[in-house]
Amino acid sequence: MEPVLAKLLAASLITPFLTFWILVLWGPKIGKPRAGWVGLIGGMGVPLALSAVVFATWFFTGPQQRAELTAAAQHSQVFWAQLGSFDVTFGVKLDSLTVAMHFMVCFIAFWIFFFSIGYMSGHADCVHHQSKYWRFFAYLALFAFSMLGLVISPSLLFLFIFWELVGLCSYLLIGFYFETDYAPPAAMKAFITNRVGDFGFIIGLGIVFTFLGTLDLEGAAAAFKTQLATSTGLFAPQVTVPIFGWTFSGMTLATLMGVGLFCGAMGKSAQFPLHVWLPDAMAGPTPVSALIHAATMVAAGVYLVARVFRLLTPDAQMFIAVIGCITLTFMALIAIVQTDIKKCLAYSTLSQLGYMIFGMGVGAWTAALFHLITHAFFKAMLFLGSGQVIEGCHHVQDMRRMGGLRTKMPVTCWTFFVGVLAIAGFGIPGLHLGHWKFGLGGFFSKDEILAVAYDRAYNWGRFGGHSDGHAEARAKGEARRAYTEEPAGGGARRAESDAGGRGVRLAAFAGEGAEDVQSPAAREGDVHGAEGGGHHASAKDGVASGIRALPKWMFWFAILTAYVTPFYMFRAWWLTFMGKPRDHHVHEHAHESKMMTTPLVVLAVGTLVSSYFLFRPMLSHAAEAAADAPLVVAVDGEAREPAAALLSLDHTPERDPHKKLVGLVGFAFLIGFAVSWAIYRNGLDAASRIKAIPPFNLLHTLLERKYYFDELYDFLWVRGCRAVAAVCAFIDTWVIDLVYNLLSGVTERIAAFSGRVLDAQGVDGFVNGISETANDLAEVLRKPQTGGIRKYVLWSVGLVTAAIAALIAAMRVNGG
Amino acid sequence: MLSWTIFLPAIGAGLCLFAPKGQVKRIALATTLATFVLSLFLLPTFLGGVENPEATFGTRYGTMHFVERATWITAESFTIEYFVGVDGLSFPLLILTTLVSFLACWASWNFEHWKINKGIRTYFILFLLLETGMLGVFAALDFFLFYVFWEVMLLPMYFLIGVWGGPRKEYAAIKFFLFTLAGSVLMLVALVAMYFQSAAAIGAAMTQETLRSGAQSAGIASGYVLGKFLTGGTFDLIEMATNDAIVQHFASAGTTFLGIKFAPIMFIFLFIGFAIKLPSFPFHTWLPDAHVEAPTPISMILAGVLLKMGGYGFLRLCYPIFPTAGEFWAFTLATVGVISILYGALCAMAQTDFKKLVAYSSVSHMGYVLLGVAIMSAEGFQGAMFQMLAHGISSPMCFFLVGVVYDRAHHRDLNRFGGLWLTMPKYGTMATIGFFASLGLPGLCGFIGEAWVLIGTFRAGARWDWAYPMAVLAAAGVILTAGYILWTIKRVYLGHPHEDPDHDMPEATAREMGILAPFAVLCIVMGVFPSQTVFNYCNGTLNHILAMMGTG
Repeated sequence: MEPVLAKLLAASLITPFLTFWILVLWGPKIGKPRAGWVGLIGGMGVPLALSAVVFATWFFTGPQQRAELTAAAQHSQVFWAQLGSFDVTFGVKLDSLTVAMHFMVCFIAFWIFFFSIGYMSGHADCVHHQSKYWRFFAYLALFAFSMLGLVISPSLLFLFIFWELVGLCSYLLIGFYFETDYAPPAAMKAFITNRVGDFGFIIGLGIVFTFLGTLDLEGAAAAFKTQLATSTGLFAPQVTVPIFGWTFSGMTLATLMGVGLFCGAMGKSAQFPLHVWLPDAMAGPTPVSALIHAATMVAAGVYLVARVFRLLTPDAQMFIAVIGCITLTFMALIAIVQTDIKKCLAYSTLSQLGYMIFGMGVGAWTAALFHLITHAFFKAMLFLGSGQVIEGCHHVQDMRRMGGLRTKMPVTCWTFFVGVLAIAGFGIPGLHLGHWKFGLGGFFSKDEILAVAYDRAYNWGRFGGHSDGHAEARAKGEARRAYTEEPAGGGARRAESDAGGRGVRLAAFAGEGAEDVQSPAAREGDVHGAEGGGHHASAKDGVASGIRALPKWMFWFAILTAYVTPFYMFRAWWLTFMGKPRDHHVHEHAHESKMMTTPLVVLAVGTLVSSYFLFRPMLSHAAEAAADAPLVVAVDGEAREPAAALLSLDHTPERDPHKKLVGLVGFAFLIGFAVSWAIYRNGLDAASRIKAIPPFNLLHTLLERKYYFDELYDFLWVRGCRAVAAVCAFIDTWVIDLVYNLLSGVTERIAAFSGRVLDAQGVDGFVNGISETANDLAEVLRKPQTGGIRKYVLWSVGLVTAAIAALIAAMRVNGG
Repeated sequence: MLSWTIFLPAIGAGLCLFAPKGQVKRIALATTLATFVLSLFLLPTFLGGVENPEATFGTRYGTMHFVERATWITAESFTIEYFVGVDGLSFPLLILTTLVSFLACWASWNFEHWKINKGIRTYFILFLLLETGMLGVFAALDFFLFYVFWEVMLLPMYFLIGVWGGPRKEYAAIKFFLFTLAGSVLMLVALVAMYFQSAAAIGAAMTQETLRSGAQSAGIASGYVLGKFLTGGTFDLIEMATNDAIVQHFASAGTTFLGIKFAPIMFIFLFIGFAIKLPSFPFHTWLPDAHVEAPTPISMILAGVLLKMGGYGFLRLCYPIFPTAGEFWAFTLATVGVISILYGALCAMAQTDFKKLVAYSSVSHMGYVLLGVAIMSAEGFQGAMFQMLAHGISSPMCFFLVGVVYDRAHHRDLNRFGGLWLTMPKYGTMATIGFFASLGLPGLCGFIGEAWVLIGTFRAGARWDWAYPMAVLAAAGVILTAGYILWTIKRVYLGHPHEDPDHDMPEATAREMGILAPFAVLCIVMGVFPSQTVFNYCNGTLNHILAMMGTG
């Protein structure tokens, strides 16, 4: 099949790339308003058009054809470079996830580019007699190129390459106002923090390449599955990696691989403990915050996890869940005390990213990605709204000086309100018209994540999971029971032949499967499984069986945050738009512009239709591939499998976790609204009274100082690193060099002593030859070279003698 | 053709002797440009390697092109040849040399404005002689010839630093000279020892031959005598690696040097000679001094080409001739490589002198080369080779970038700069490209080498379990590198311009942009098309070397 769609996606990289160079080379000549339009059309307009074609075509393509197209794209990759004897190829990963992400990025980016033309017209006009206007759009175009490249990358190496490139764009755009004091450090912090994550990413890459033998995403997933099924490679029982006597098994290595790759995601998606850069990244222009630091780039971490989902082990997945859970909770709390409108949104973004990562961690693959997309819409809109506010208020970002802006900026006010409702999870449960459920983006997507988390935490035992990972025998039995007890899952027809195999997997990979792999019981089980099942247990049969239940606190943290989120978002809205103006100067000059409100309205509509019909089915389809994950919980599309049914939206009525959730968080947005109304409707007075009450004042300080992470890292890493660097520099000068200089001094003494002897021995001839040259240079050569050369010769003879002696001694000791 | 390329600069140097003073730099620039153009004649042969690898790279190590071979010195049993040739190992480095030399020569164009602006004739003569020496090193296939070129290159460099350098130029020049000399003395020891052992090997082979042909006992005796004492050895670097008799003799446990197994000790002698040049920890301390004192174009040559001789030496001498010793020393070498990476980066972070920072970054970057060769795998060799070439582009660029601000500010204190991107936007853009290439950003040239070496090191874990922690440590280098480079960019290019009425910072001139642009273009092109720019030309030969070690 002709891979036209893949070619269109690949073509979408071309115009942004060219636009970047056009703007870099001729930006100043193109001039102020035009550079923006060039950036909009070349950087995002053309890709959006291509993307829309692809999206529409894909949308109406049947599953069978989709699979063929995916395979065709996979096979029409082009050679890029040799890595050892492995061919690194580049091409397009054409599947539903790519198509959905690509379209989402193009659509949102297009409107943000559009917004930027308005936003930047008043900004950054001339610093030091140079307009930076064109630069902004050049960077945006480069970002468009890199981000779209990231989305279509078929191999981990290319994913990493574009990963770093979006990091570069982030760096350049955070540091856009590089003449200021605050932007350069923020940019640097972002890049370096990301590099810390990339350090893990590289380790993950290294393990993938070493053991799975490929960097291609599909190839790696296939190899992972095969190796698991056949107990070879990474999962060969004898493959242990002894490092200086410290031994760990292949399974642990597989976990390390997953955690390593996830470290990259932690950097890019700003997950705890690498979250510190994102709030600072607000130093960049607001459209950048909307595009890169809310909607697209920061979500790339989630995208990465989605892409490597099939390579995760249960332990790695649990790690992801814990990190996501910590991030979503603690970052949401910080958002409550922020007074800077962008910072408030930044912490909100952190928290929402935490939800997505948490979703990935609990196995809610579709839900996490769905949340990524809905969040991209409403958060981009919220950021653009804040950009309109900041622009309209002449660069005031402090919400304490705002208030009452609804009269001056009605469009902004109400689109912002839509965004707040969306993030708060506004929806009317139970009210639906056929498939049309009534609610905004966050209502569906967050709810799905919570539903999966709920089932993982409370319903787990019923679906083949178990909480005690060490009891192999029990686990095995439980799996069998789970299988037969769950006719609703529809798996019974296969139970007979598969139960044995399931048991094997279960036993082999229960809990810290690392030890279990080698335990005799597991191997015995393998034999039984092979006999009983009549065929070798395929990896798919083991879905979910080795995964432990989710610790309940994690579920409750996520629920708690679902209450915190509406509160801080409504707070921001009240403070900005409602109440009375607190700073009349700001209020009087506030205004809004068409160029900027248009994207707001477009994105608000996008949020309203909640992308439910466009993106959700695509993601469900994409999940089929992810459901192939041999070791971790897969998602819907696998509804026949009991464990997967658990994670599907189509719950059977009698165990629908959504019903529980309606009771738990269904009206959280109302409570958040009411509480924030109670406190903030009249400005800040009530809040400052609460702040003064003893337990709250300490809490407030703790939150305001962001749990002191900046201080800690500054002390630990920045100062620590510089101290170590200073020590190294000291060693270089005062230890290593000193040795050499001492040697030189000693030789000089010897030279002085034996100079005459050597002089007579024909060195003079050489020396004289040199000194003749030196005479030609007499004007500039100040020191007589003769003494020097003699010294060198002696010096080197001495040094070499010593070195040879030392080497011989060393090698004798080594027995060489 | 190859000889013309090598000696064209020397001829140019001869011309400079007679030319009027005002014309000297024109002649020099024309010569370096002509040399560069001439060296491009090597290209078609290697471009063909994509379609027909066999024709370009042969079926085994030692397939050379543009070979020129003539007996040079004969005395008794000694035969020293003038033997030059090009294969995938030397070709990219030859092109790099001619290119960097040309750009560095152009960078010397403002010689009249230097602090020490006397002796323009001598400067350019030495510069051109240096180029001949460098090209000779990369082309020579006779060990003795190699050694001669190695030394030929040393002296001009010594004077170029010692005469036209900064305040501590004498110290720096002597230090540079002594370190390299120490290395070359070790190399000399190896040269002589290898010559005699190869003689013994050839002699023994002849004896075997005689035995096989059924000679009488007298014949055996005389054959032995002949073999041991009368047969000449060889300086032929290719023969040493490909003549089975010599290879086996060198690798044999019975062959010794001062009571030590021959291969490991020779390997390490040569290794130290090259490690000094690379430079790797702990032999690196000459480098910061030499760079700081050397004038900008000389720093460019030093970083761009001279350091590559170390890596080239590993790949041309150490590994093909002593394949077994590589395994013996792998751990040590990899350790030294990792230390170089981390230690170099940390030292760079502590610097306040802009040029010294770039110098230490070279130590760090060349650590990847050492690590790459030490692990003896295809990924490692490819990565090391790429890293050499990438560093050969990015580090002269960085040194020139430093030179540009030094010409204007007359100091290199990182803490006294700021906001240069505002005052010099074009230059700032170039600086961003150069430093990000140095940082190893994907899409620019610095990334490929690092990534290949790191991934290769992980993969080497299958052979040596110590490779895993090494790979992790080396990977940590990417954080440190990002740290010091971004900190530098922040201090120099971002922020407010420092108001210093004495030194305003005018935008880069056309000449400066002309020098920076080719570097910038190469940084990008090499990063985007690694195969077309590097791998296609060298992988064939690298694979042959690996095949000899049995680690393809």
